[in-house]
Amino acid sequence: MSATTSMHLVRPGVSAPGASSTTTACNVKIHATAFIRILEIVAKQSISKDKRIIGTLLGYRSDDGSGFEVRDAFMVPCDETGDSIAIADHEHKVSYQLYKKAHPKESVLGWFGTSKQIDNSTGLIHDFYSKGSDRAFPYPAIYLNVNYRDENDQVINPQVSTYIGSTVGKVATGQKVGWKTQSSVNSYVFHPIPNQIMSGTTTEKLALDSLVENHINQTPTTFSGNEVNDLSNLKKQINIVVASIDKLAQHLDSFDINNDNDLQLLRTLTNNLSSRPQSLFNLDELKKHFGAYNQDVIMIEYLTKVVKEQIELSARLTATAESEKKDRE
Amino acid sequence: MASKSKQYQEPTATSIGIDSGALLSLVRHTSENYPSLYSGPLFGFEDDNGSVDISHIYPYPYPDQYEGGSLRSRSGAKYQQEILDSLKTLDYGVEFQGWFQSTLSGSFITSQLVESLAQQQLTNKNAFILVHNMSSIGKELDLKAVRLTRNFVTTYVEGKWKSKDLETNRLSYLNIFEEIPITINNQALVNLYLASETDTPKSTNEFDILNLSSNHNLTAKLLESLSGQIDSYNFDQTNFNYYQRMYSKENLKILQWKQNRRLENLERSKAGQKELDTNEWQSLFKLPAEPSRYNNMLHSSAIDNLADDLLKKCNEELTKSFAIEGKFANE
Repeated sequence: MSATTSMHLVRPGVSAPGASSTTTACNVKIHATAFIRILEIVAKQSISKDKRIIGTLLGYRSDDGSGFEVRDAFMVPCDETGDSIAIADHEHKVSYQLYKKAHPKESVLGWFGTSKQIDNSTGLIHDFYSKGSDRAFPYPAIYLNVNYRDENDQVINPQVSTYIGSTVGKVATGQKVGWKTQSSVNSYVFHPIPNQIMSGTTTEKLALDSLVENHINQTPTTFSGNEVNDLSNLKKQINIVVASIDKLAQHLDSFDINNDNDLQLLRTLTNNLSSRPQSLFNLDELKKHFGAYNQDVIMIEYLTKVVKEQIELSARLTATAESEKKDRE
Repeated sequence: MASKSKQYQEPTATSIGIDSGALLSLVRHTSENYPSLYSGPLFGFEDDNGSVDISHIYPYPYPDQYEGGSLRSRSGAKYQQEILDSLKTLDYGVEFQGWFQSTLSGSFITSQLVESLAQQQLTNKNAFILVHNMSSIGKELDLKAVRLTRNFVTTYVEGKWKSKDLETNRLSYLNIFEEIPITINNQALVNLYLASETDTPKSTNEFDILNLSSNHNLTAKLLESLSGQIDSYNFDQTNFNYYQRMYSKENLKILQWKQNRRLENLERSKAGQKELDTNEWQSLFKLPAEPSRYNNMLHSSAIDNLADDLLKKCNEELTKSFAIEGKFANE
């Protein structure tokens, strides 16, 4: 889904059209969580296939404005009639300010939509997000498109594409003509920029993995690991490691000296082996340390069990003592 | 509303459904901000099949000082209402269903949290709390939905926490909470995406559980919380022990008095005099009242949970350690 190569074009910025802004390439990282949120919003809102669904992207922007990290998204209602589009400005503002309270470091990055191609309305919406407070201004806004329908309107695996928009042509100034204010909509050119879907914390990744796994195996999801003797997670992880060691060993059997990748692999392995600490060679010492460690753990286990029993004992004794008192009275 | 009219109602929800996006953003927020603790409201609706479906999860803006601290705070309630209003204007037909709380093992059992949950359950019979246990952060996900049992809420409504009440309601520290199974609700589009994600590369971080954590501070943290809980438990227990000593002292006095009275009556009957009342002691002595067992129960339950998590950690460590040691023996 992520593009490995991309062309980078120097483009004009929003605030100073004509002058080139950053010269570094842009890059969008989309958190899997945010992506799933977007898909959920899309899935829940798509009543008719012509209805346009848009929403605001939230997250971090790097200091130079070239890196984006999409962390969350929320829906913004909009109404499309012919050539014009009405975006619920107020709802956007309220949702953003509520989100901002709990996530003070994050800001509006841009917006997402689900259209098949860039059209006139895309520019209108982009204009909304490119200026005004509580939006992406003064930074350029990004536009994330999720396409989940093919030419025949069949639902397909959602495809993500990201764009950065920049103004072209004369800046619209909103001059007054009589009583009417001429609409001040700029024109935009959309450059595709590379994106990649990533996971935030390890715990989040683990959660996502188990979602994937449960979906594949069609098993119900459980997240409770509180059972004392439930070491299934540990077992699963060990099995994965064993499997990848087997894979590596198998690969080394059919080793090709002329293959650069194989050579690289071999180098990494040798480096890893030679960099192991000296203490690993002293077996007796190691055994001693392990023995001591095991004893520590067993001690903790023993004491914890004692505490557990004590608590139970105390509860039972109190109950018995009190009921005896009642009998005596 | 008078508190008298509030009665325990049997909850009708048998499972909790959570949208995968909501779940992931919850997990990210709590694990990113660890060791700060966070809580927040859960929004969703009850469906007709006995399940509460959660579609939106928002953290409160500020971290919690302790578990349950923000659940009924004024600022938290205001924030919650604002979000609900905003969701309503976006045409999401959702209601407040409960809270989530990130915690370290059994530490979530605080009187504040239990109190909030009890009050909420009396208002909405299907209220629950989603507890994210951070004791295995980065290694495994431990999330469960719990609510208070009938036994607990009934005792709570009665408001007396004497041993007798615990016995009549069959309540012990082991059955304060009951767990509700969690299911994940995926939209079809999300499923499509998940199906394409089977081959994602794994990072070494995900195998953190396999590292021998000899100098890891998580076990230390658990032990610290455990000893903290034991201290609070002991503090409470001292009060109880004092009561028991006072009780037996008073009881002894009463017995002596009864003995004396009986001897006196014996002499009086011999002398042909009228016998004195043998129940007069009730106005002379007063047996001390039993202190509330409420805190004792909460502490016991917290200790029990902490101990279980610790034991699990130890089991894992020993498994790993022996696996490595076995390799030495082979060499």
